[in-house]
Amino acid sequence: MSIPFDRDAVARRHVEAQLSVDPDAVAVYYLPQHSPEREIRLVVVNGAIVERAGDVREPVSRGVDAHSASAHRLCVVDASPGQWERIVAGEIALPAGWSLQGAKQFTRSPAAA
Amino acid sequence: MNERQAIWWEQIRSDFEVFELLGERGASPCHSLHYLQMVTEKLGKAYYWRLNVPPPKSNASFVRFLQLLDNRPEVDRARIAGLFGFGRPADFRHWIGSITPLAYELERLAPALAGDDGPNPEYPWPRETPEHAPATFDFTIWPRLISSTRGRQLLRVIEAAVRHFPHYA
Repeated sequence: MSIPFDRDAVARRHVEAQLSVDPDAVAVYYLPQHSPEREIRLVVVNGAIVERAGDVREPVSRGVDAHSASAHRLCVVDASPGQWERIVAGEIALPAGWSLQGAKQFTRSPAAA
Repeated sequence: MNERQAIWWEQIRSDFEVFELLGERGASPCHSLHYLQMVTEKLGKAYYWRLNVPPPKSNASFVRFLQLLDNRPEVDRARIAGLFGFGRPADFRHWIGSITPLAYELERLAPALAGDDGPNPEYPWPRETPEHAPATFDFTIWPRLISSTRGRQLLRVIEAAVRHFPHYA
């Protein structure tokens, strides 16, 4: 029997961690579309980073809650506000298979989906 | 890259593979930190071998490694900046300045530098009266490595430093 996994709730937990740990994170986008069921994809927009093209192309991924009912993979890419604008405009590609369709935005103010 | 450096590079790549494996498996942060600290220390020591003399035995080598890269001639620094994913040498220099405090913290995780009373990812502490086990300890550096853009940038640059070592060593 498969164990239910509330991906949206778990994603929200990760979003809150990003916003609480990183004072320079201005927004976090959760991209649930087309991702495997147990994978959480985030784009963190950071207003104080030195831009690296690879930060958008190369997600930092890791396993979380391994060997438990909530085991999943967290994948995060980072973008400056300028890079994010170019991602939205289609000028910079996200990692293969990632989609902005259905993206949910979170900021420090009350979440705006 | 000389022959001595090539031998060190083999070990660094192997250590880094274990670091990545631990991350994929969601291992306790102490194990990931242990391997990451070793990778960065060995990067510094392998780089030092470009002088064809053994590096100092001290575990403190990663911050020095970044400083030495920053001190390379302009033309080299531009090339290294590109290898490390930065568009301009000035961006690379600025990044080194901004990342040094976190790199220093990572360096100080080595038990010999953490001291008898300090957190380290390998042995329980304090040495005389153990109260903390690394496997269950909340390392303050961990969330800043994985839940901040600056920390993730450091991880990506370390990966690039390992991968491209022969091209700048």
